Amino acid sequence: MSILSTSHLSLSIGEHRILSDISFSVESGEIIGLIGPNGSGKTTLFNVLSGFLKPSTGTIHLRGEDITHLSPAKRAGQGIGRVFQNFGIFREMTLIENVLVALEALPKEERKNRGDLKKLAMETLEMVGLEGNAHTKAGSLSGGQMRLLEIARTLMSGKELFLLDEPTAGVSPKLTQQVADLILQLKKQGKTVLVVEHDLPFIGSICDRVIVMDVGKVVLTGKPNEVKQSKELRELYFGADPTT
Amino acid sequence: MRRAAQPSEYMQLLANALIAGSLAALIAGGLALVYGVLGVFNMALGQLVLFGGYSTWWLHQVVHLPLIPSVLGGLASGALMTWFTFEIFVNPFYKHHRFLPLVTTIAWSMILDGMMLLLFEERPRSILPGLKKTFEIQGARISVEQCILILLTLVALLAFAYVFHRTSFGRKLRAVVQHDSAALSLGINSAVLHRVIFIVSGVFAGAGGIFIGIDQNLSPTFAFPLTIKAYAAIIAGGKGNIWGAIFCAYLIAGLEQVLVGVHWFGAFYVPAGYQQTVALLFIIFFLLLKPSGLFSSQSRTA
Amino acid sequence: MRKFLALSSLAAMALAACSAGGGDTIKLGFIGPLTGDAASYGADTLHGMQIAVDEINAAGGIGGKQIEIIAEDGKCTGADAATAAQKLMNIDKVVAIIGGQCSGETLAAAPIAEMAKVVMISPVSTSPDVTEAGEFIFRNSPSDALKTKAMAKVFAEKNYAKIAIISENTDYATALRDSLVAAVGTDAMVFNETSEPGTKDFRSLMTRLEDAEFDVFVPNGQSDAFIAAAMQQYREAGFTAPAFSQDVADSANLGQIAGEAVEGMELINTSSKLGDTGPDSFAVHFRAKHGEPQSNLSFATLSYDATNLLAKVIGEVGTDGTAVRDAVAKITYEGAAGTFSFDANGDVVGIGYVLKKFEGGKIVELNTVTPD
Repeated sequence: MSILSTSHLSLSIGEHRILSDISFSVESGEIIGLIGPNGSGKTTLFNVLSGFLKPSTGTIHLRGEDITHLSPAKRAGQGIGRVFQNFGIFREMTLIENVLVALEALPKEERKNRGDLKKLAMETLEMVGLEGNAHTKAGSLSGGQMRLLEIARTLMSGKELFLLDEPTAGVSPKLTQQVADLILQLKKQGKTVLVVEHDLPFIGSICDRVIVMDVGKVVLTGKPNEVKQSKELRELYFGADPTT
Repeated sequence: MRRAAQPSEYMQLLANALIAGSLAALIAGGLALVYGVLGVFNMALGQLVLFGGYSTWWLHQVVHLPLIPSVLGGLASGALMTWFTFEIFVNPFYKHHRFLPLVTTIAWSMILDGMMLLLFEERPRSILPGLKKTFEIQGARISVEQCILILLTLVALLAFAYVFHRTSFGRKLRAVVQHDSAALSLGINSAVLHRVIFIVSGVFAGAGGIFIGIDQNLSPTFAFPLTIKAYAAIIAGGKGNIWGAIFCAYLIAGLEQVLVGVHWFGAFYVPAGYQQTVALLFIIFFLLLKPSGLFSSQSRTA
Repeated sequence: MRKFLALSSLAAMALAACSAGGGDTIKLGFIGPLTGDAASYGADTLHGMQIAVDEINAAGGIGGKQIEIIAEDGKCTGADAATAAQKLMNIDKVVAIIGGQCSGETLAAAPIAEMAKVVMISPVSTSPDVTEAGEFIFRNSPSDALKTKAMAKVFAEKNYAKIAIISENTDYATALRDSLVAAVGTDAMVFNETSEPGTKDFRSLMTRLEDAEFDVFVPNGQSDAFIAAAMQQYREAGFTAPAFSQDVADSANLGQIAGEAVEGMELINTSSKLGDTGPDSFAVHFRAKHGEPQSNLSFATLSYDATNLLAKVIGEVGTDGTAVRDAVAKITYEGAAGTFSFDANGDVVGIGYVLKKFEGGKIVELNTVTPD
């Protein structure tokens, strides 16, 4: 069954049409890549999906339920996790506090099932190899470490659907591999991931399907290989081919 | 005839600075929290300070309740008035633009000025009238009430520090201060926290008003200078950095006392009329040299 | 929407208050602080004026015409008083004005009254500058130039040779300080500081005061809030030297908020028993209507006398400004405060000073002081 589906989503701000008529659905356990040039509306779409922006028209369904009018906090409670392009971590808090606050924000019943939250927070840091920095401020981490921390935190707070906004931007090649591994691990646990990325090889290596966006519209969907060879993608990134 | 400054005089200046600084820290601390979390300027702060003080005066001097219930009542009515301020003059506006409450709270401050004149009249009021019993520590004269006020301020700040840095609630508060949308996407209900924070700032402000009403006296035109000093402290402290603001509140109060109280270079005194300009010069100085403030953090840049 | 409704109803109330009155009446203006720190002066003087007008109107008015009071809030500031004066002269076209009360108000309103040829009588303003304010400006409270001479005389009698003074930075308080300096000499002022209006923290000045040798401390404020805080912190700092103040300290409220801190403090003012002369005196009528005065009965009495004096003059010479001015300048009036007249500058002659003292939380009058 599809975990997330959108139908005819559009968003206008003033006279500008930022998103138009976006419909797609995502199956549980899929990793979907969202690509397209800068300004094509990818981050805006994430903001609409996670509730920070209200769509002008259209609906969003999570596991068949209409969530179009829920607040970001409510959607988080329903299992949507967001990893921000400009790092959604709390820089003046320690690493362990960063994870702990996410666990403490869970609904009461769910918190009870987790047992000792501090222990769990430490295990989360161990998972991404940051346990040595548990008591340093998160602001002192490198970009890649911040990504790992943010993804691990989202994972451990029991989210089902992950919206990752450029997880490899500003990340060293070595850590990029670690981020990719972590995303594949999410898939193994049955989670669903939407990932916005400019790094096409990265997308190719982890995604089941790719959605290509341009000027607020979905222009193409398909398997990574099909999309890579498509004429549309080449035109988008390199301009129209004069030979055809 | 002038003689050289005695060590006891420096002790007295220190005591004076602690008294004035405690008051300033109470008011500026709450304000910094509100600015850090909501990004909102509350220009009716000084009026909320006076409201807490006047309510306590009314309960103690008119209703004749004992002092402690009166103080608790004053804090409670300060909190209620702040809540009302939030719901009517801040909440409907700040989501659209965080500068809108600047205008609405200025209007509200004027209405409150008029209301307090009607309710409490124009004459000055004192919660504990008359002379306080003073004693000497290391040559500094200080009253029992002032000692209690300094200590209670410290206790309040320490209690707040504990909650802010060591509890789950405090972690959520800090998360909202540092990255509002990330906190939201973790499921932290920031709307409720915003309300709580605003009311907490009102309780601190009310405590400041009670402080003034006990140590000095309350008069209805006293509100605006209080607001200005609190803003000086949060700007100098790094906007949104609560401990920076509290530190700077003590610092500005200390500077005010020292500036006027010290016989500079054994040669001259600064006229007392310049005392109140210290806060304003502080704002200008920091805006010129370090717009981000003394302890700036990246969590909120205005 | 709720807020809009609330605000517009407030505005409607304000408009209704402005447009009351009208008809064939003789209009007398009032300028004084109705809000702010000094509002107690405004309340007492307006009440005194109101009692006079009610009595005159009950007795048939002036030549059959009723008197109407147009009261404007001068807020104890020059700017607001000037606005009030413009409105009273240009829109209401008043015949004469009781006011301003604060000296700053009177000085700002004076040029406007001069231009419009409208007589102003102030029952409270005592700044020496008011003497020169103009030909249409009178006052029936004595000038501070005289008050400080009276203070200097008392200081000499009590051997107060060295004086420490803290003044509030307002027209009234700084003018009083300057004329006190002129009366006692610069050398006698061993400590002379000025604080911004509304200051309540004098502790650093008190620390400095410990370095000065002085015989008497003068808290020279424009409001009793200032004097209360200064006196509390003076006594709490351990000073035992006597304190001496001026007419602002002549406030029952000061004894209530400062308590023991002002015990024994002496001050110079016009008698607060002006008008309190017997069972059917002005004081009895005032208390029956308005209770205890908020600041000082004398302010109310002088305002009452000034209003009656104006009514008498207008009854005799009509409403022409210059005619009223000439008649006021010549009159010797027997009022509730005593018999008084005006000198060539419009300053009162015949209202003297009294030395007063806080005893047991109350202000008692010791003896009259006549400056040389």
